Amino acid sequence: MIKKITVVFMVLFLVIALPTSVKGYQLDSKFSQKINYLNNEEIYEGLTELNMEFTKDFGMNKKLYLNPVFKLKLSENARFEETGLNEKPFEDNDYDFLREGYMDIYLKNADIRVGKQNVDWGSAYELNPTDVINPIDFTAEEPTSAELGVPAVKTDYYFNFNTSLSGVLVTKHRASLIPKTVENMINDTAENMIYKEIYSQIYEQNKNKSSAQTTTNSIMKNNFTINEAEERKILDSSDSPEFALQLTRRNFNGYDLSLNYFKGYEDLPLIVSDYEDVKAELGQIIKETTSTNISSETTSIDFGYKKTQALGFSGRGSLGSMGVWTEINYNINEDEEKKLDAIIGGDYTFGNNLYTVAQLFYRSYNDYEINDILKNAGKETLLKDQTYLLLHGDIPFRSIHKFNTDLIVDLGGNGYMLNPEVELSLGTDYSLDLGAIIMDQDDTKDFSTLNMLGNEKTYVEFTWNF
Amino acid sequence: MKKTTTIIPILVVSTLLLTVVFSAGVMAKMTGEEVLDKVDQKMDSDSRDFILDMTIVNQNGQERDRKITIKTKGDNKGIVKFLEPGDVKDTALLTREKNGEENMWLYLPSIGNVNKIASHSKSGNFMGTDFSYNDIDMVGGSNYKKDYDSKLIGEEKVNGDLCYKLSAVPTKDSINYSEMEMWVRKDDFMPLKLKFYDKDDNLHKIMINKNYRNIDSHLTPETITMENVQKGSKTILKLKEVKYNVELPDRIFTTRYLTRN
Repeated sequence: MIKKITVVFMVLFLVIALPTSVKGYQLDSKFSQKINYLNNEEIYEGLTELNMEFTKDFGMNKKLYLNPVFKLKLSENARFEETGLNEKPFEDNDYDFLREGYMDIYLKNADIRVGKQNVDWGSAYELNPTDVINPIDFTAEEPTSAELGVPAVKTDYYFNFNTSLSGVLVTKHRASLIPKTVENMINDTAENMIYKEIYSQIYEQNKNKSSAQTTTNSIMKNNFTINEAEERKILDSSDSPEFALQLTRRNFNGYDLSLNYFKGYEDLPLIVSDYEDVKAELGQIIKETTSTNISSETTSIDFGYKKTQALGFSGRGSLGSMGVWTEINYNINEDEEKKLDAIIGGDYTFGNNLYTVAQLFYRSYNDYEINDILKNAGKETLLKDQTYLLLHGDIPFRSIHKFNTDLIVDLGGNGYMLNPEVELSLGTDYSLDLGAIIMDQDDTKDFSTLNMLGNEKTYVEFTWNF
Repeated sequence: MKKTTTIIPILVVSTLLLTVVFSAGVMAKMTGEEVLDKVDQKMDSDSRDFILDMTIVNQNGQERDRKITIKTKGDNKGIVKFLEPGDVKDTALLTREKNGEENMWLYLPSIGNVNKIASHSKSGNFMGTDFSYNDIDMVGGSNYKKDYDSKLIGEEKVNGDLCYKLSAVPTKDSINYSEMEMWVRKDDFMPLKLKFYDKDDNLHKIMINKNYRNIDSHLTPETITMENVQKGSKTILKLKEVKYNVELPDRIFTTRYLTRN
């Protein structure tokens, strides 16, 4: 905590000191203070953020961009209505101090960007299946716009106005950040699955429930571990780096079209152990385990990020008076597990400046081993096919303020998320947002988009640009 | 000899009188199309590079300030970029017209991507202002004759200046007005006032151009006000820096340049 406050003060000092020490730079800062009331937990939480964008033009077509961010989060334990701030009011949450930091080099027909960066691909609204390079921070306030920067070299080559080719080389794989609750849910599922496997094997042998339970508990404690996924340092290993290509053709019969290819690693963890091997090892351990003897053998379920390849397509243009777009991404990993994401959507602006969006999102998982294992263990699958309808509307009022509403409906009948919001402009540089996230979710625990989008809450956020 | 010297002044005076009378006749017979053509000619420039202060005033009198830059080349390429404040900074709009087809791309820094805008969006308000995308395009360089069919309906004074009064109807579906009325100063063919009517023929907006200055041999209004009479709001543009016929490379008018901050 003290370390964090020291860093904040150091940065504030730098902000004040910079004008006298660095010439030809530009600094744009944004301070925001958000207060959430989490409806289910009945607690408040405060989020303070200072976001700075530092740009320095070195001439000769070179530009440096740094985007440091400072965040403080008030602990979820701070119940104002009961005890006021408790002894550990600030949660030690991890975040990227340097959200992006890169150097741009502009050549005659090419732009090169080197450093930590976000690469934004796709033409759909909010959800972009072809935007596969950056992992997502699902613990962030707005996961749909919380990409995590990756160390990369990106080159955009322009053949002419209409045609360009982008190549991205990522030098270190980064995984998506998932909420602790989801991580625990995954570990619990794996643990329950193994427990059930051991118990059923022992019970099959001795038909004694109590003895089977005791031995299973012993094996779970002494012979079995769950190894969490680790990010892969690609350049440190013999594996080839992640890379991606995008070919864009603008204004082809009025449409902007892109074709993408990605080769790298999945951003979400999956079981990488061979489950048949784990079962065989468990069999050996069970054989050696008695009421007096603990087997020296061990086994584990390892989570990891599988190698994967993806092919994507996106397009955007007009159909009559409507804007239309589509995005498709087909992903196949090293174990030939396949995922298909597809989006089709459109927007329309009415005469009164009401801007509307309707978008259909479809995701299907095929041949995922984890689903088969869970199914065989009599459990619900984690990776389910999903179809969502997203509706958005915004309309200005009093010229400078805005009403905003997003609605995501799971067409499989597993709930919805509604996010009404009012954006009030308090001045040229100040704004106040008031809103709520209302959720109706099935209790089913899975990797669904709705489950990853956060909690039901009411919020107020003040923003100052300077 | 004496006769000849008397005839020469008479001939000169007669010629001058005839010229004046003939010119007046021609001027009096100017059509709406000719007036619009003159307006476009007068405002024509190979390229323009403007920096403007923008103030949005809502119906309660609350004001919000913006700073934008508009660059245009010929009558088929334009780029508008927000310079201030921070929440809209670097938002940029590219317009390109080819074979009569107009295309627009918008770059929003928060999305980090360039997206093509549907044709219908062009009649929507531009980034919360009282200008539509089409209106803001007009500020960058007029294309009145191409965008409107007009007829001369009379002469009226605007702030003491005698003006041609035109009635014009849009030629493009993407312009969401049923009619435009325009007051063009007779002296120099500068548009002083424009009224825009919505599809129900109700008065929607009034644009006022004030304080024309001669910059690089181009008359340029220092202040452009677009008032939305239905909402009671207005947006005021004040020209801070104006350059005409400057060298603007074609690469500026590309989606590539749009993303550069």
